[in-house]
Amino acid sequence: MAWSMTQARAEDAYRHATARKAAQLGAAVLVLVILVLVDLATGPSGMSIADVWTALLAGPSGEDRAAATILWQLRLPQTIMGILVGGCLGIAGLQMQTILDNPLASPFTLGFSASAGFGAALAIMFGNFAWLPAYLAVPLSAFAMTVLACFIVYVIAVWRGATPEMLVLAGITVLFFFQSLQSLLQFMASPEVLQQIVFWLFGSMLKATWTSVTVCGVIMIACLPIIVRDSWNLTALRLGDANAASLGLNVRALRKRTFLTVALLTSAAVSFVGTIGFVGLIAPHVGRALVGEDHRYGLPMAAVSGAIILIAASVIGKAISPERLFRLASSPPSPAFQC
Amino acid sequence: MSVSDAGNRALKTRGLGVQRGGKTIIAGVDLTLSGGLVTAVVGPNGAGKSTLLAALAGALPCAGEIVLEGVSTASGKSPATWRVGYMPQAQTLRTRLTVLEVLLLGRREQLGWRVSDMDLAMAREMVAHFRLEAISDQPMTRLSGGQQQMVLLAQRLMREPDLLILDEPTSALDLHHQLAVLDRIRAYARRTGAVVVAAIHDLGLATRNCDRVALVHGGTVRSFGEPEEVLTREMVGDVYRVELDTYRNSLGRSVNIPVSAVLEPVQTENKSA
Repeated sequence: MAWSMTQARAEDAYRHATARKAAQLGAAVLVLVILVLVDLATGPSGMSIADVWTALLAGPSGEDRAAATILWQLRLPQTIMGILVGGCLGIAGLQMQTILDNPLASPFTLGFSASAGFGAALAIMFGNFAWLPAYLAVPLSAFAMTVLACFIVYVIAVWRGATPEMLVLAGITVLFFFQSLQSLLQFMASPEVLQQIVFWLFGSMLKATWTSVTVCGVIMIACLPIIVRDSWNLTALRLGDANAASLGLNVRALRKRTFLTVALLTSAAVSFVGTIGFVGLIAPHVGRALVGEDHRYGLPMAAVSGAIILIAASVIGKAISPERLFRLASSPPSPAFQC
Repeated sequence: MSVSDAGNRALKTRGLGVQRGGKTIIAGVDLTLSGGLVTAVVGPNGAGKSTLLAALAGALPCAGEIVLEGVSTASGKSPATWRVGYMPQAQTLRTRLTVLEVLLLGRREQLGWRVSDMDLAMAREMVAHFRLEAISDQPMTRLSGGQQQMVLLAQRLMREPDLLILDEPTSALDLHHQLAVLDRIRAYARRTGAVVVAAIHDLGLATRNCDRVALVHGGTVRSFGEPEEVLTREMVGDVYRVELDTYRNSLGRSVNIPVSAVLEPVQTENKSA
C-alpha cells in the first residue's frame, strides 16, 4: 500500500516534470513569436507596426507597393530564414554533441563551414556563368562543397569504425584542407573579389531570398522524420556507446544516420547565409540547461533556442545601426550585420 | 568440455571463440546454461570473462555457435536480436538524465513519444524494488558509482530479458547491496526462467548466491558445475595462484579463504657473474 502510494506520487512527479518541460518549450516558442514580430516591425523604413500588419494581411501584391516590397521581399524572407537557420543549427549542434559525446562539438567541428566557405569563394571567383545567376551559383557551390566535405569525413570515419574520435579527426583534417584551399583563393583573388568573399564568410541573413527559404525549409522538413524517430535513441546514447548498444541500439548505424542528418541541416543553413558558427555550439547548451537531456524536448528546445538567438541578433543589429542596414540592403552585406 | 543442466530454457554454446587483433581471447567454449539459474563466471584478471560475456550478448563477433531456445547464430540470427539484457563493466556515467529517465530507456523499443502509464509503472516498480525512491529524480551525475551500478542493473531488468548478462554487477557495491542485488537477480531468474550469467570476482558471493559457477582461465572454461564442485581448494589455488584455508560456514558449506598469494621468483640478471 505504502509502495503503491509512493509510486503514484512519483508517477505524478514524472508527468509534472514532463509537463513543465512542455510548458518551457511553449514559453520559448512564445518568446520566438514575439521576437519575430519585433523583427518584422523593425527596420530603417519607418513603417509602423500597423503598417506592417496591414502589409502582412494585404499579401505580396498589396496596394502599398513599397510596404509590400519591404515586408514580403526583404523582411519576411530574412526573418523566416533566421528561424530556419537557427533551428537547423540548433538541432544539428545538439545531435553533433550527442554523437561525439563532446559538449564543445558543433556542426562546424567537422569542417562544414570551411568547405562552404571554399565553395562560395570558388563561385564568387569563377562563377560568372551566363546560365546560372550569381545569387544561385554561390549557395549551390557552397552546398556542393559542404556535401563533398561530408562525404569525405563520412568515408574516412566509416572506414575506421565510425567512432567519435575518428569522426573528429576526419573532420579536423577536412577543416584544415578546405581552409587552406579557401586561403589560396583569397590570396589569388583581386581586391574586389576578395571583399565579396570576406563579406560572404561573415554570415548574414541579408542574403536570404524566398528561394533559399524554400530550399532550407524543404531540407529541414525532410529531416524531421529521422530527427523525431531517433530522439529516444539519441537519449539512450547519452549513457555511452556500450550501454546504448546493450539496450539493443545499433550505435554505428545511429551515428552514421545522425551524421548525414547533421550534414544536410548544416549544408542547407550555411550555404545560403554564410558561416554562422556560434548558434550550433550555444543553442544545444541552452536547450539542455532548460529541459535536460531527454532529446524529445532537447531537440525542439535547441531548435527554438537557435532561432531565438538569431532573431534576437537581427533585432539588436537593426537597433544598433539601422542606417547601414538600409544602405546595404541591396548591396553585399556588411561585417556590421554578421550574425 | 561440456556440462549440461536440466531445464526447459537453455543457452548453449558450441566451440565458442573470440579473436581480437589476431590474438585468441577465448576458444572452444562449450556450455549449457539452464534458465531459472544464476551462473557465476569467475576467473583471474585477463582470463577472458568479459570477452565471454560480450560474445554471449552478441556484442562481439565470435566463432562457433550460440543457441538460445532453438535459435542459433548459425541460422543467421545474431544473439543481439534476442531479448538480451547485457550490462558491461561499470563506467562512470556523465549524463544528467534522471534515474527515472534512465530506467525508462530500458524499455527503449516499446517507448512511444509519450511514455505510457504501463512503462512508467514498471519504472516505478523497479525504483521501489531497488529502494531508489530518494534518488529517482536525481541526475545520474549526482549518484555514487554504486548507485549508478544499481540503476543500470534495474534498467536491464526493465527489459524483462530472457538472457541477462552482467559483467561484475557488484563491483562498486557495499556488502549489503552486493547480497541484496544478487538476491534480486536470483529471484528474477527463478520467477521468469531467464538465463542469468554474471561475472563475479568475489568467490564467496559466487558460492553463496549463485547456482552454477563457470571457472574461466586462459580463455577457456576450466570447470563448470555447482559452486562446491568447481571452487575446490585445489582448483582455486591452481587457477588463482593462491594458498587457501578451508572452513565450514553456518550452512555447513565449505568456504575457501585465500590467505596468501603464490609469488613466482622475480627473474633478475646475475650481476655477480
